[in-house]
Amino acid sequence: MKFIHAADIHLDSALRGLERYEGAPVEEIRSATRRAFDNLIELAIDEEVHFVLLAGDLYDGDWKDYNTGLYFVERMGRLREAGIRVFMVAGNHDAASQITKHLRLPDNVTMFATRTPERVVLENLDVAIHGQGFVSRAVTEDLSQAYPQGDPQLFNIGLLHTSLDGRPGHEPYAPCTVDGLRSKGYQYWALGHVHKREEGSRDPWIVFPGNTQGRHIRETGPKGCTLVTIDNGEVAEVEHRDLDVLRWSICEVDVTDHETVDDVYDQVRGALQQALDTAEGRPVAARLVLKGACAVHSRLHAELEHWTQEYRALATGLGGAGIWLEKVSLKTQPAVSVDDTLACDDALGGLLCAIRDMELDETALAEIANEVSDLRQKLPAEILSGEDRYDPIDPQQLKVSLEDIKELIVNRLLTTEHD
Amino acid sequence: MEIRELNLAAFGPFTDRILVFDQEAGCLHIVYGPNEAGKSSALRGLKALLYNIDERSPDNFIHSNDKLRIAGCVRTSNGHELAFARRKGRKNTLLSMDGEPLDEKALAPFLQGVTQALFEMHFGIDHRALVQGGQEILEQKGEVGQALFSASLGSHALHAVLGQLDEEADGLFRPRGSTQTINSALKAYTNLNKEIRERSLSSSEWDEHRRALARISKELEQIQSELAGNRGEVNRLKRIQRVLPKLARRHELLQKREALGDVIVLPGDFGERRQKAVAELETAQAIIQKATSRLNGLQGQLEGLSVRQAVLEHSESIEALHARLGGHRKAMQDRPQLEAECKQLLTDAESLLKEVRPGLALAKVEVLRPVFARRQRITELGNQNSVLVSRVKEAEDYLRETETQLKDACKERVQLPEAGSPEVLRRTIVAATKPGDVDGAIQSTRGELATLQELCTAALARLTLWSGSLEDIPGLPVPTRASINRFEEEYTELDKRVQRLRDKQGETAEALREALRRLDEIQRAGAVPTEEDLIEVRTSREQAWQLLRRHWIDKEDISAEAAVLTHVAIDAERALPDAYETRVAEADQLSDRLRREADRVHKQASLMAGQEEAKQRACEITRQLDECAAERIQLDVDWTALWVSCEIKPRTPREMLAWLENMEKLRDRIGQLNSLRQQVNDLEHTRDTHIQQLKQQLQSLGKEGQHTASLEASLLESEDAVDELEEIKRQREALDKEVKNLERGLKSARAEHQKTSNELTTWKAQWKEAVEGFGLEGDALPSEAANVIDKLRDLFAKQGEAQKLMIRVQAIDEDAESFRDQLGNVVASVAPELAKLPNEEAVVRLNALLSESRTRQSRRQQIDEQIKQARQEIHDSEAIIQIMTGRLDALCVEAKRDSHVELEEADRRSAELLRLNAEIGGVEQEILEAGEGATLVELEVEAREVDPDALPGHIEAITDTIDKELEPRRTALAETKGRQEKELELMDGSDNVAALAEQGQSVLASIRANSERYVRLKIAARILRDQIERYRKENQGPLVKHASEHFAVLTRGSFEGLGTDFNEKDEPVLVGIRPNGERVHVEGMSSGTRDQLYLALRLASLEKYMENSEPMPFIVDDILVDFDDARSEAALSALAKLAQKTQVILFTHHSRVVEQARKLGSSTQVQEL
Repeated sequence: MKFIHAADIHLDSALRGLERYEGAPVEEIRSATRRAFDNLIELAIDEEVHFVLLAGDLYDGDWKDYNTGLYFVERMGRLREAGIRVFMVAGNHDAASQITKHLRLPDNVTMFATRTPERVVLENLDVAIHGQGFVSRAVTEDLSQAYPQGDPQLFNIGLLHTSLDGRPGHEPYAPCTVDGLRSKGYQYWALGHVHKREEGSRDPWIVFPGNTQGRHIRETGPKGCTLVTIDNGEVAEVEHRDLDVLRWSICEVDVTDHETVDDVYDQVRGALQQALDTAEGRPVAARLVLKGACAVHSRLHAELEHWTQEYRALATGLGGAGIWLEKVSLKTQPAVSVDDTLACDDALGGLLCAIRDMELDETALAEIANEVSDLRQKLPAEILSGEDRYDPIDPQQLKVSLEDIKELIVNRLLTTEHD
Repeated sequence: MEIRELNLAAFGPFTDRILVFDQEAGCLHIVYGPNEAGKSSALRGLKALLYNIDERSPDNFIHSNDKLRIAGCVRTSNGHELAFARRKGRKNTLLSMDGEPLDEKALAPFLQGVTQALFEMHFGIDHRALVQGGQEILEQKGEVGQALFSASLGSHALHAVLGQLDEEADGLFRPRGSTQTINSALKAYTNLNKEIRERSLSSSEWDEHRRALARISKELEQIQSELAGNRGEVNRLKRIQRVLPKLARRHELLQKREALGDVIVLPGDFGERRQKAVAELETAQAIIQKATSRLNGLQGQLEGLSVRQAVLEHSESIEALHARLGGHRKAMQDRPQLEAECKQLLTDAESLLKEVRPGLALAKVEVLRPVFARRQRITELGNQNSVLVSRVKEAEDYLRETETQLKDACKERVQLPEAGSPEVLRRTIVAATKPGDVDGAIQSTRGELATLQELCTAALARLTLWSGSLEDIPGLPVPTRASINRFEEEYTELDKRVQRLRDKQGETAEALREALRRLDEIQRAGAVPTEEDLIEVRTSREQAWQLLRRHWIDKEDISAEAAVLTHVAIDAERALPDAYETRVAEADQLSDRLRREADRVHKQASLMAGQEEAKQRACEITRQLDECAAERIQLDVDWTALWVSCEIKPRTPREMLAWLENMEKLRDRIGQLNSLRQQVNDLEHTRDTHIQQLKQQLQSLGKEGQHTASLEASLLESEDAVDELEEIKRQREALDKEVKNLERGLKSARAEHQKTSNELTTWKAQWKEAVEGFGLEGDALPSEAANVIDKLRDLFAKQGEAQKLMIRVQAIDEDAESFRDQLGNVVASVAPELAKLPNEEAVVRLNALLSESRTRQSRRQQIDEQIKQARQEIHDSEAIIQIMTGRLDALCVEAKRDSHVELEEADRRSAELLRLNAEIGGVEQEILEAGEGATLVELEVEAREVDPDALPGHIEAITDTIDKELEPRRTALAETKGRQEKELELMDGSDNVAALAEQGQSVLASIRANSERYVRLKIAARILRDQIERYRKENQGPLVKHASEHFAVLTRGSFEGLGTDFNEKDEPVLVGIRPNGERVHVEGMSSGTRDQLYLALRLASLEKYMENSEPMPFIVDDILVDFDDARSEAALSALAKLAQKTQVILFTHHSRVVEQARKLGSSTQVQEL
């Protein structure tokens, strides 16, 4: 007997942080979450699984377009034709979703109740599936406690949306412990909520399959579902299967001791090529991180936009399924630090000292932040909030920008020609 | 740090070229290299030693890249030294003197963190940087902060940097903008979100549509079923309506059949068979009756008709005679005319023969026939004759004409003169025309020359102060304009100084007068006590007291001293106390007054001090005026000395400038004069050479050229000669060709003449042979022969015609004989009564007799045939009567009737029954068809239940309900349902809205990226401005002061120094201060002065830098090119002054700079490349 365990599908959730530019593989990444889900349906049919478990967060909480639900129903219909049943629980996002409340599911889909745990026994397979969904966006009690004890005659599965004992970057919803889950006497705990694949335990199996498609730069690497094979009432094989259609990747390039921008360019090409090769024919959304002490530090910082464009053109030229260069992040240091050696009383030295001092001076930062307060007033809330937030007047973020600003000024002063 | 040694071991044009920069303090190092000596390479080498050889260095043209080497030695101010080498490469380019790689950090203590870019900007200056620095100051409008900041950095694009930062930031975002990158992206994002909201399908919307669809479907079903019921009823009623009349008809028919009673049903063909038998019987009886009466009539006719048999038997002979009768009649009529014609023809033939051959009888005419047979041949030959004769004539004419032409051509050819080749002459002409119109050029140049000469002479006459010839002027050693300008400036300067001093002198005298006046005023108001007065009284008091004390306590004799003190000679001792008291009182009084009249005292003191100072100042001014006068004298001496060499007593420099201008103009004109003279000489030489060459060529061709000085005339003459020669050549060639053609023509003409003569001879022989026997001579003309032939042809024709006519007359006679014989025979055997009639009438009567006999014969045969037919008819009809009677008997048996008469009634009844049955069947069929499947019984029952009169109304009512109520409702519902279905179809789970959301995220990402960029640019601009202002605040005082000193030196006192002022925006700006206190803004300075201002600021900044940091060598690259000698010297001395604080290395191409630097004294070290 085989089944698929997937979670955190976040249908129609848009990919974030991908600024469009000439040559970016726009079409290749369209509707990525849907196409990843299509891959899941195809896998279920090809592998002739007996059922599919969806451990919550099928939708994105604030997504209101009912077409998403209709799409889901249509795909469930395909599984129905193939004789595959689907069991699912609502996650925190589903609880907040209007779509969940209204959608009528085909009869091969079972949505577990949200008030108390439910149990479904599949007589012909000797399998019992237990589950309870989120009643609201934030469920802070341990739902697993109320789950019934497993039946020793059956293969017991627990379907639960949980942060387990807490995972960084994830809301601490429905907290529980590995020991607590183990005490229920189940053979497989199908969990959801954590977007990175994780096996919490192998006896019993406690598995986060991760989400099916990475949606931003913090969701890197292969994404997909877990294919479980049961033999004689015991777990015979637990296997990760890739479903993603676009892979997120952070390409770190150590440019220590690089003397020229051409050297850096060559190494960037190698790193991007490797990311493309690793993605096995998928397009890649990559963030390029350059680090190390190097002679070109100043030029890179001062000409960040220029190099971002250069590397984007380079990525476009690599061909293959395509690379979308999300961002170029500079974490380099200068090979020789000028500001330490220059006296602070000449013009350039004074300028560098002032910028260095500014890093420690909240008042000064707040003062210069006034320069950009007009912009801040106009920025959408989506930019100013969230995990990736960018607030131009935030002293911490300004501090980070200061290195770029310093190099920008110095480079312009030293290289600008009188026209 | 300073550079002690630079070894260009293998770099640019150099191999092991060592430059040693001596350690002597305060030394200005000059590296001098004329063009192409490698000054630029050396400069690059110096920078490359410290920082690396540039990857694209052009200095590898002698030494290959891997061989490039520079070595050197550097030293810090605290005496730390490092010797090292540099190779070209990407890594490990720093080497120890042993060639081992050296860590780049080894240089760190020397370079002090100064990067290459910084070094080049901060510690290097070249001509371009100087000019751009000056320009930059202008663009900054002298803004103090930016000027000082730029100079400190060595930058010359600070203004542009600030401008670019602002411009880029503004391009990204403006608070109230709309087209900027971020502004427009924000707008796009808002629009996308709006579109997502609008296009999102909400759950409730979906539910609503689905429910509505279900409701409508149900309603539609109901209405459709109602509609079906109503339509069924209408159908049923209409069916009844259709069936009712048919049911009535059936009923009627059934009643008729019943009334018919018992009937024997006979076979369908019974009636037909009966009628046929009766009809045939009756017909046969009628035929017999008619045939019998016809037979009787025919037999009577036959008996009255008789025939003459013998006529019929000779019918063929009679017919033949009758046929020959027409021919016989015609022949008898023609015969006499034919005989007459024959006789006439024979007479004509005889007369013709007499003309041709008079002796010959007509009977013997046949002998001429063979001759006549040759007439064709004679005609042909006759035709050829004229052609042949004309051809012979033509050939003869042509031959004669050709011979004449040939003779003429040969004669003409011999008369043509001989001529040489014009080629060389033509080339000479081309060479002579190449320079163009030389004669014209000489003419016009001479004109110019004369004009210029006049101008120059006139100008010389106008030139004052100097007398000499035009020729002396170019060599006249007049001073340069610069020198005169310098004197002009110096005179002006001196005049200004004297003027200023005179002004000051006046002011001082006025101040002195004013002080004296006020002092006088004070003193007039009463003597003013002075400190001196008090001291005097007090000293006197003290003396008195000392004397008193000595007298009183020490008992000394003090009379002498007392006398002096008291001015009392006698009894001075007694007067002393009084004197003392007086002194005490005086002192107190004075002291009190001093206190009381402190103001006056003070005022007087101050006025006196002022008076004193004014006096001193007046002395100083007088001294300076004396100095000026001395300078003036010296200047006059120098000025006069300047003009000694030209033996001119100069007037003022300004006048002399004007004079110099005139002189220079004159000199330029003399230069032009000389060049024009040279031009005329050159042109004349060219012209003469060409004329000479042309003349030679003409002579060699045998032509004597005219003696002319005009090249154009020579050219024309030569061109005519060439044309002439070419014409002769062309004629000769044409004649040669013509003679050749004519010779060829003569040959062929002779051949043609021979050929035609032969042909004519041949023809004559043939002709003679052909006309023989005609009675003509051999030379008879063809026309004569033709005449004979025509007559013979006529003769033979007439003779033949006469013979034919005689044969016809003979045949007519024979025919008439045979006709008479045949007629006699027939008449005798058939109708002897006709034998007495003439032949022709007898034939006609015979023929009539034959026709009548034949008609009678034919009539008899017809009647016989009709009798036979009538008998046959009677026989046949009797047989038919017998058969039909038998058939009718059989029918009686079948119909069970006794007689033939009853058969008809039986047949009618049977047919009636069958007809009724068929009609009933038909009606029933119709009823069943209209009944749509119901049985007869059911239909009858149905029809019985309905009131036929109410039916139409009922049907109309139901149809109305359907059409006006039910059907419209159904249509409306179906449409609504369709719309709902379509709406639901659109809600198909598509990802269009999701795609918009994706687009929104892209826009968001771009807003974010551009915002980060905007923040960097905006804050960079802000920090830079803040720092410029900070730097100004901290350094304005000392920097402007130092720069001011440099500026005064660099401008050689044209400016006294620098100051600051405020512009209209209240920003501090730099101004130059003239010695007279005038403040000049940078916009009012010349570009050279601005360059010097920039240099002054740079020098001041560098001095400031050196105060607190490890000194770095200052590399100067030929900045003095635009400086005049004086300012160049001033700049060199400023650099030499800087060299006392830090190493200064000056690279130059110009020996002048080297000379000027050497004048500075021992503090300069020059190295030549």
